[in-house]
Parts: sequence; structure tokens; C-alpha cells
Amino acid sequence: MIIAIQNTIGAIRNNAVASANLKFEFSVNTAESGTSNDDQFTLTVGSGTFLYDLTTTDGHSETGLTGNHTITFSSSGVYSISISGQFPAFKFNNGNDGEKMVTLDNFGVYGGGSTSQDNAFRGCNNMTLNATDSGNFGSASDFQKFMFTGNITGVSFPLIDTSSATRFDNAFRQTRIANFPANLFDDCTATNFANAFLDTILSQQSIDNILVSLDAAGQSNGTFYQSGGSAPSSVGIAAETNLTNKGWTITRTS
Amino acid sequence: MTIKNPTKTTYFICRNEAMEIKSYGSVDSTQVMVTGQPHVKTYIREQLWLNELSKNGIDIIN
Repeated sequence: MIIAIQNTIGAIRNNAVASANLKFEFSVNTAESGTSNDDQFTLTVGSGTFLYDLTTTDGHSETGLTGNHTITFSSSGVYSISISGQFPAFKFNNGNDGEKMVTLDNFGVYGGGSTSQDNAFRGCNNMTLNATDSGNFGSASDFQKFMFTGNITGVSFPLIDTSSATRFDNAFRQTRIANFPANLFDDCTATNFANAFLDTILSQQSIDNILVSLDAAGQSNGTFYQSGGSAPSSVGIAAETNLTNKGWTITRTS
Repeated sequence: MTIKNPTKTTYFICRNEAMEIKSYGSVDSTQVMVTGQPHVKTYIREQLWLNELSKNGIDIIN
């Protein structure tokens, strides 16, 4: 009986491991403008220690990479790239090959060992965010300009770990993502959300979620900014009142 | 203090009791700003706002 139960637990565990996609997956269009040739894509990495392997849909397989790396494909086109190992952060920084990013499909190992996500996806103006997983953001403190772009689109931003985050200024500026989850900022100590949601399309539920989460985090004297999108409901406004009572300055859609 | 749907874009600087700058920004006709800071100065001319921020070591990067 005990052995049967242990086997069942083991099977459940194995299934859980098997179902979690730990690969960092995204696709690129090498024909878009960038610093590499039109049959290439350059991974421009941020800070941290890197040791990663990658595979691509046209059969490339490279191992033991430790930093920036340029992939040369057989011809110009759209390719998917899958990364395993340690990959703390991109840093396209509003240039490099950011405009070649077409989709971000799964965070997987992305973010592991990262302390900074500053300017990570800034300038990925052609990118659609499809990832629904939480990645590995638990050690990242700096999210300034994380996804600041002219046009990152997507249905929803996933619930990531922000417990080490200290700043989000300009983090989601000009993104085209309507839905942000509840509890996203509950555990973070960040108070700098200046221009974080400037020119965005937040739904009412999202701005409610954000304000309620910031209130739950319990920080004082912060700055929050939203323009575009929806105004909060009475739920969000109640959280906003709590925040201003703690010295916050909130600028948002009315 | 609240600035709600100003007819012209309004720039502001919020300071605490010790007159330290705690927040700054702008509000346009589609927005509202509410703050729990006790001192708020508003500006209609952006350059005057930028000058005041600059004097306090804050440079705005767009």
C-alpha cells in the first residue's frame, strides 16, 4: 500500500517536472533592422553569469555559450530559438537586434541569477509577448525600462516574482498589453514607478490590480504613473487613497 | 492635493515636510494626480519645471 502511494506521488512529481517548460523560447525575424546581417541574429546579454546552450528551428545547436553570441542562419527569415542553462538577462537597450525579436514564447530559465533587467527588452518594437510562465526573476532588483518600447504587444503580462525588485521606472512604458495580474507587486519594496505605465492600454481590472498590489506591499512615499488605458474602479481608487495616505503620488488616467 | 483634468498640461514637484523632492511629473487633461506629500508646486511652462528639477540634480530623460 505504502509503495503504491509512493509510486503515485513519484508519478505526479515526474509529470509535474515533465509539464514545466524550462526552456527560454523566442522567435526572431532576421530580415528586420538590427546591427547584425539580415541572415543573422545577435543575442546581446545583460549583466550576470551566463552559461547556456541553444537550438534553433533550422538545426543549429550550440553549447557552452557565456555571453553575446551571433547566430548565422542559412537564409534570411523567421526562426525559433530555444535556450537552456543559465541566462540572466537580455539587454537590447533600444538598439542592437531588438527589432528582430518577433515573439517571446516562454521565459523558462530566463532571469536565473539576474540582478538587473534594466533595458532588457527595450526597443523590441516588433515583439509579441506570449509567455505565460513566471520565469526566474526572484533575484532581479532593477527593472527600469524592462519592456519600454514603441509596441510590445500581448494579451497578458504573467505573474512574475518581484520580491527583490527596487525600481520599475519606465518598465512597461508604451507597451500594448492590457492585462496585468493581481498580486504582481505584493512582495516588492519598489517605490519608483515613475512613467512605468506611460502611454499604455491597461484595462480597468489591471489598474485596479496594480494599485491594490502596491497598497498590499505596504511601502511609503512612492511614485506611480499611468497614462492611456482605463481609469480604476472604486476598488482601485480605495487602494489609491490608502497609498496617498502613505505619502505616495499617483498620476493616472481619470 | 489633487490635480484633475487640467486644461493645460501641468507639471508638478512634490516635497515632504523637510522640503525634499519626493515626486515629480506631469498631468494632462485625461489624467488626475493625487499625492500625500504636503508641499506641491505646479508649473505650466515645462522649462521652468525642468530648471527647478535640474537645480536639484534631477535630469529628465525622455
